[in-house]
Amino acid sequence: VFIGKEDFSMLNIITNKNDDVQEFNDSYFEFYTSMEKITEDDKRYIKDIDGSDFITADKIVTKFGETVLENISTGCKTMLNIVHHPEIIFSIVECGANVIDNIFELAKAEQSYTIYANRMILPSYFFLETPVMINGEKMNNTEEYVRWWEYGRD
Amino acid sequence: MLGGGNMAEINIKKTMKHDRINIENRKTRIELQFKDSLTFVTGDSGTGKTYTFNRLQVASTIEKEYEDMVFYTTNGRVDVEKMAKIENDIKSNKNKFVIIDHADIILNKGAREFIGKDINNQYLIFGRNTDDLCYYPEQIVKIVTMQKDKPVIVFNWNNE
Repeated sequence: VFIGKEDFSMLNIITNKNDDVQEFNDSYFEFYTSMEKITEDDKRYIKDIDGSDFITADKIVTKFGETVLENISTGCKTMLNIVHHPEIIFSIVECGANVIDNIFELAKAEQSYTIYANRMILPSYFFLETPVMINGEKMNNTEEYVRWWEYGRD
Repeated sequence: MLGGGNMAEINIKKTMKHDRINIENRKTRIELQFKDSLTFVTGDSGTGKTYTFNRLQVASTIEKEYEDMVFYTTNGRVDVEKMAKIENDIKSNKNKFVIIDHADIILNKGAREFIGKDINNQYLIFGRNTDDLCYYPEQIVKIVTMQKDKPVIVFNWNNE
């Protein structure tokens, strides 16, 4: 049970795609997020998710060689989109487990935001430490959350 | 999760255009081995799925043995109309090696159902949702990079 966290951090998940959902994370990143200042936290996400080193926006050292910021993975772009624009509902359908872990960690860090998901997402340790709402319905624990995805969907 | 269709409907005499792909440039090698006419590549973000897609696209323009490849990816906004167009286009392929990136965004249910049962083309699909596409666990694979003299991208068929 999530005691005391409800007031300041919450991961809101919506499962009905509407016009407010931004599913083109690559395009959004190129047009908006990549134009903004890349913070030390952003660099840590790039390292953690892609295993790449941010030197400058024009020099990202990946395991395949050097590239530019616009060529980081879609999952990493989604993460940075969420961090930079928590007011936008981004689709996470293209995100791998390594991004999902970071999404839950971000919600733990006293920030509320909303994402669109079409499948159950869980941290790799299979346990929710973050208060979660699905379509406005509050999930009180991991079991309730898993049960919602198994039986509660329309 | 797997497709959920009727496995009896699947004809096992499927088209295999390529059982291996080996391409190399100055920085990396890509060595892919295929076991089925449909290969669905999934796994963590940043493992090289789109990188591999882009490299194959380049290879198809220059290598005659890969000229049967056709590519689908997000190119501008993908709405219902565009998904229908992609579905129709995919259905028109014959004896092609169809390679699809961002499958979760560009494939509608009709395209998925067609691909899952198509026996005339080979498919390499990068995405996460295998609904209506995959009927056997053996069709789903992760991509990994091995560090040798240069990074080598391969399929990890053990999905470890």
